[in-house]
Amino acid sequence: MSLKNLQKLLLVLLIAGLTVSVLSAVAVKAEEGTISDYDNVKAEQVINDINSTVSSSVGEGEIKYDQNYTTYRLTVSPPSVIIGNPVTATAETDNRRVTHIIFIWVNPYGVIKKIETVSVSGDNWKTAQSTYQPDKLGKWVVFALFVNANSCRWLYAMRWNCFEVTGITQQIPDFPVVGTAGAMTTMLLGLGLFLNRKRQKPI
Amino acid sequence: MKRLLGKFKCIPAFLKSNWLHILAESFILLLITVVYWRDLEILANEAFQAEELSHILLIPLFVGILLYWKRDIFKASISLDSMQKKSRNMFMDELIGLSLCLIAFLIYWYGSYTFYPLEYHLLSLPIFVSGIILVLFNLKTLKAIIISVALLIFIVPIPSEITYTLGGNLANFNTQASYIILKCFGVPATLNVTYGSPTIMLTKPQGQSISFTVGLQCSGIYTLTAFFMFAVFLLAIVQTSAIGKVGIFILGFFIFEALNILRITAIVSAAYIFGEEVAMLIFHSAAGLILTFIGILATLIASEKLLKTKVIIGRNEAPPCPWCKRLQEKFQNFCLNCGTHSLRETTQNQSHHRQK
Repeated sequence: MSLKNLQKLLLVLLIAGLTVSVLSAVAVKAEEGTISDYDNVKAEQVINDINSTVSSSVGEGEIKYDQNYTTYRLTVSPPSVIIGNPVTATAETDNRRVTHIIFIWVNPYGVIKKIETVSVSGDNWKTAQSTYQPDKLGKWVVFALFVNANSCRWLYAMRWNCFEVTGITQQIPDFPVVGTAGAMTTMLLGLGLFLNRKRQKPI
Repeated sequence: MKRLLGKFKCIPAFLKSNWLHILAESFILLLITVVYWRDLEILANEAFQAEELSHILLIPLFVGILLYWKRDIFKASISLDSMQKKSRNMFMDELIGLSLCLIAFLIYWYGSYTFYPLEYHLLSLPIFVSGIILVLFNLKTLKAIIISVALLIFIVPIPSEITYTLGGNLANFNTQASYIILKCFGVPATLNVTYGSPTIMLTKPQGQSISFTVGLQCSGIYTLTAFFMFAVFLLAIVQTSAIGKVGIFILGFFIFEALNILRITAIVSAAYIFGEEVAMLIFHSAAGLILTFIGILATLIASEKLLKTKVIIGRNEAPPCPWCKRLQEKFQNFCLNCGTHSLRETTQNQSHHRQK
């Protein structure tokens, strides 16, 4: 293939790639919509509050966006879990206007890993649960947004709680301690031996 | 000592003549550091903690080795760029480069809104590097160091869903194959694949039973990841046809799969003959490294015999470029295909003229 043809092929690939990328970027909007604007609070403020909470490393707390209703709870069970095992967050409130609770799971690097909207159940105490299997070691934060999603889009409060993800020594039995770096080094040694064997071979 | 001092004296002259390229290369490094600093920090942390990602720590070394080996072709392609700048397609490379940078940006941006931002950000890195090389240098330069850029793909941690799916399938296949071999040799073993990871239950002569669960860690997926990265590195140093290069991957895949089945079979057999402790302590810990060493040797030998591959390291061992003579006639001192051989002549001629 000549250089000109290669350039043409690359250009075609690029145009195709750009089209796909732009289309996918439009699709992102739908995912963004999970934390949307409320009548009393903008989504941007909620995201800022989540970010500042994660960076402040405060273990547990609450931000109220509506002062009329007071009791909100969020419990995480178990508070310490081995990596890969499920953790359940339970949110409760006596605010009868709350119809849904949005659970946001944030990993130790401050990355949102799951957003789940759950309808509340119960009469006096409205409760909702969300479960997640953490895949990174460290301190995770789970947020619960207490919202009314029926008549008006209203955010009452946001509570958060932390849990610790601990690891068992997950060794690759093929390469204990050294891991895949050990495998690569072994392969490099193999290549060295192969080249050495070739050099010593009489012509 | 004098020779060493002479080499140091060459540095200012080299810097003076190549300052624009050194500036461009520093600019690439600075840009990568600024844009990807946070992701690289997280990645380094992960690579130090997780054994399955530790190969990432070796990527700078492999990229560095390849860049060093390809330095002559790299220099030649840059010089060629200045010679061909006045051609009709002078903005073609820049246009493609900018488009690649834009695609990288879109992937980065898209990834920031997903649950896998690190993976998407790092996936955009090789595209971004390719784009910036095209903008600052040319397509020939990118072609010269494409394998080094391709190696950067391996810094992307594979999402756990893919790892679990592939690893699970490999573990199932390997365990079943191992079980069939054990049965052929008359080892009293039973296979359980109904729930969770596949398990081989071994009944010892004393009636005691031992279970061997082949999980994700034992499935061989990490060996294959390391092999594929090494095979990409091999592409830069082997001489063969395109089919031969693809053949290395296929051949290696089958060899490493066979060795993993052999490893599982050997561990279970060792437990049956010598006892569980010997199997787990000696075979289980050492077998992986030994078989990887054998595996890569077997792959290289088989590639040489079956695919007629030739491993070439360094310029001394490189055979003369078949295009050199024909292209030299066209461009006097320059080979468009390899650049290296003719470049040396050109440099020698230039210095000779300067002395005159």
